[in-house]
Amino acid sequence: MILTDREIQIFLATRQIKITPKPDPVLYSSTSVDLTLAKQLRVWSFDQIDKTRGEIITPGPKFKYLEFRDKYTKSINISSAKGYVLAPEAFVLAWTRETIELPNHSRIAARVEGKSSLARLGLAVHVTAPTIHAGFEGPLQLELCNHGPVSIRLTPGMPICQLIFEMTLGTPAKGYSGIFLRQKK
Amino acid sequence: MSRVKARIVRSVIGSERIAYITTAAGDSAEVLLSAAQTGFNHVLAAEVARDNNNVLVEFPQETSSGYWRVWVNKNQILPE
Repeated sequence: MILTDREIQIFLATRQIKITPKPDPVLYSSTSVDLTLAKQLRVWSFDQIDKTRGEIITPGPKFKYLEFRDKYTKSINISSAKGYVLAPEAFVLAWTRETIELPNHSRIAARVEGKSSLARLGLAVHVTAPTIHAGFEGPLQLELCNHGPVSIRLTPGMPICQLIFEMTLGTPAKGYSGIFLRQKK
Repeated sequence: MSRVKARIVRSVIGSERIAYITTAAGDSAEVLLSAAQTGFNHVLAAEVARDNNNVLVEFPQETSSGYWRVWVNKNQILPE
């Protein structure tokens, strides 16, 4: 079952869902709440358009994502005035300004999804990984990709994605303890 | 449902309309809707909160600026 705006607000009031800072009333819809873009981005430290570099990633037991990330990306802070211009075909990592907590006992999981106003421009906010598992704590990492033909200016605080909450059938046997728990920007 | 004053423009698709609504901040909110959700001078929206002179309304679709809910002055709500 998907929570409506009223249930989301009840769950927030009873701290069965925690969102910090608390969403503004205009960020709700009937069945979701929007989250906003943090000022920190992880951008590639090379020209994304240059396809001649020849690096190959081999996902698997020996692959270390954080080493890969630190080797090929750099962290930047974007300003409200200039923002960050995401060129066509460009891909960056971003985070929500809000921190989410879904306590296991709350029997709540969630999905992060894009917003139609941005999707129409070609902006995707995740790469096939929308699930927020029960027990999750932290800001949400977003994988922003501009599939459109026109550059898109990203500004901190803009509504960037929507969160849809669902009740689980039971309580999970153990808490979520994945490597992305309390993920850092 | 409430009727919120709007300037209604035909879209390229016959069953769609583009509505422009004046927000409490004085901006113009643009929303693409089914023709059935509009009248000649208004759009249907649900009232979700009131605050002094303003009403928080939720439109049937997301506005172009990314919000489903927008504060409008209460004088933008047409009488029933």
